Amino acid sequence: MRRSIFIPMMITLCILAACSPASVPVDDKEAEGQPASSATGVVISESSTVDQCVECHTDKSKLIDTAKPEEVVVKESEGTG
Amino acid sequence: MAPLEPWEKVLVSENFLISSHGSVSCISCHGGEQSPDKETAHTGLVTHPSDDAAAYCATCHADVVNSSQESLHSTLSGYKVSMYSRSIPENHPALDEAFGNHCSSCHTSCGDCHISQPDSVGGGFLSGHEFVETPPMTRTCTACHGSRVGNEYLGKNSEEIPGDVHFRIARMNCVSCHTGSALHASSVDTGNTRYTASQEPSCRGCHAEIGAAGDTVAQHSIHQDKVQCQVCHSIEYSSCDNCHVEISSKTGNPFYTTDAHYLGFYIGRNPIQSEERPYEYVTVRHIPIAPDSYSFYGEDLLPNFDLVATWAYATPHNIQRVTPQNQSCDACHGNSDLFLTVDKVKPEELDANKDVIVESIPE
Repeated sequence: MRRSIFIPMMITLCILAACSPASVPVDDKEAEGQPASSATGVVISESSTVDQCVECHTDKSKLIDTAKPEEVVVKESEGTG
Repeated sequence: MAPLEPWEKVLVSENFLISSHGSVSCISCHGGEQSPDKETAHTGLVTHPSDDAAAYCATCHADVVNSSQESLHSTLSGYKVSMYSRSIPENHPALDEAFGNHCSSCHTSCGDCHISQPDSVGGGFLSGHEFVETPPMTRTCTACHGSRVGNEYLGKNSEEIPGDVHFRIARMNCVSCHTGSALHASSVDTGNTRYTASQEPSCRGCHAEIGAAGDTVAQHSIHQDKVQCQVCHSIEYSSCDNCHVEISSKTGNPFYTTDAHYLGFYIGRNPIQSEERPYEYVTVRHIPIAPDSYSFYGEDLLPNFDLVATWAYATPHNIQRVTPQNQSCDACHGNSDLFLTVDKVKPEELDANKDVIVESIPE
């Protein structure tokens, strides 16, 4: 009786073990703390790193403070373009 | 829409940052350097990466980049075809210089429609650098195609001239008819002009019942393939005379001067009759060209001016179900006011338009 329960249990454990994910190799760059590369080769920024571009370009007041006055273009064309 | 403030033009939205394009670092596409100092950060800045779409956009959007780089929006080849067809090869370098100075700024890259609005409406992001799949009509399409198509479609030419029924009643925008695949299509195999390609969109693409069995409007069966749809269903539209281009001696900037801009409705003979456009009569408009349009760049640069009509095949974008000319047979037949007769053409342009001028008004 005990043997009849033990054998199906072992078979079930073997099947479950086969379905478990294979170990995933860690990206060397990620391990070194550098941005990871996407499949297309484009560099993906890390969320934990401060991106100076985003810092400024999402800050309305910074953009206002640093904006250069726009040059007034003298309109020389005449008529319907 | 009022022009964007300088800061508003480059303000990146939170929505962009959580989008798929927002996961790519700014420097990957725009160059520059990571620095809190603006000048340092903008060192080597690439403001319009999609000008090199093959490098930046094709990684993910290869199909559309490959075809759109040969599209009319990208190459503006229609201009060159028009210039060259009135000239001779010896003059092409001078015409190329004029094209580079005055026409090529209308070139569109991916970002010019899907990220930013054109300079003609002040430039800047459409929506915080989000990639807008369907460009908004008035901030992109009619920002460039405004003086003729935009004003006609939106009814801006005059209070007496209504906008297109597809806009007024159906609330359709440009891409309702001009699909993305057509806008991105290569023009290399279709003669590099708008009207040598297949009719896409065509009226019958939606109105397949017109002229078919069961169509209760007899005029459709009588006129189909003899008369372009717009002849009966469009109203007054704009024409321009000349477009003289120069470089300013004061500022060094390119500028243009058009001689005249006027509204009218003209039925001419079809100057580009083909299997695709078999019509005998079509609407024509005067295009902004004259023998001296490019005289700043050399003498007699258009020696074959008379080879191409200055009253060109036109597709006015102000379609109406009911128009003055489709009220009755007599409203059009025998009505010389509607037709491009010899008295409406400048004497110096008679030869150029000999195939367009209607000599005998249909009775």
